[in-house]
Amino acid sequence: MTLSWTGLTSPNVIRDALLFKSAYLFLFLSGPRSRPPFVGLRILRARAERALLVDRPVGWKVPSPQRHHIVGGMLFGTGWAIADACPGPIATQLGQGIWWSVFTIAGLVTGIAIYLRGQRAAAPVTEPSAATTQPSAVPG
Amino acid sequence: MLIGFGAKVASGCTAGNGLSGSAMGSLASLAATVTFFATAIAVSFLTEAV
Repeated sequence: MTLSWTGLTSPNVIRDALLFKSAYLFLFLSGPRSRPPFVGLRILRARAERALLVDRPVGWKVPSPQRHHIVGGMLFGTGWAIADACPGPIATQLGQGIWWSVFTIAGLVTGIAIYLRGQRAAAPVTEPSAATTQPSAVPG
Repeated sequence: MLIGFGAKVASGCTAGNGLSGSAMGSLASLAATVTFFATAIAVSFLTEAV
């Protein structure tokens, strides 16, 4: 709803921000959109609150930067600039009934599917084959 | 497609890396966020010029 109210479902708003024609997106992301999670997460951790769905204490592990963060950021940034939309606004566009969002969401889902297919293809086979697990027929 | 594929490779999008990850103080999220903002700005200016 926040994305809808603030007009970030409009590709023109994102385009103007990325071309520095408007500071709206940057002001929104650096203030009202980022401070609540920053403060809220720390309050939850300080009070040792438990997560509702998994009933575990709220906490987090912070990963160190790796190559895939940079490569993925470049790919994502390219797509963001071409479509002038990212996953949040795309979902909001669909919720608003903007018909052409079906094309961006189709592209988004296709990209995720390609990644997952690649991951599955690259994953090592963990199931040992039947030939290697059968005990030797020759008695010792 | 690049949005979906890139978000999976970077382990997050504008919300996951840019907002939640950065709020957690994750350097990985900050690196991804700076990269996708810089790339998006560069590509926007490139496509505007063409």
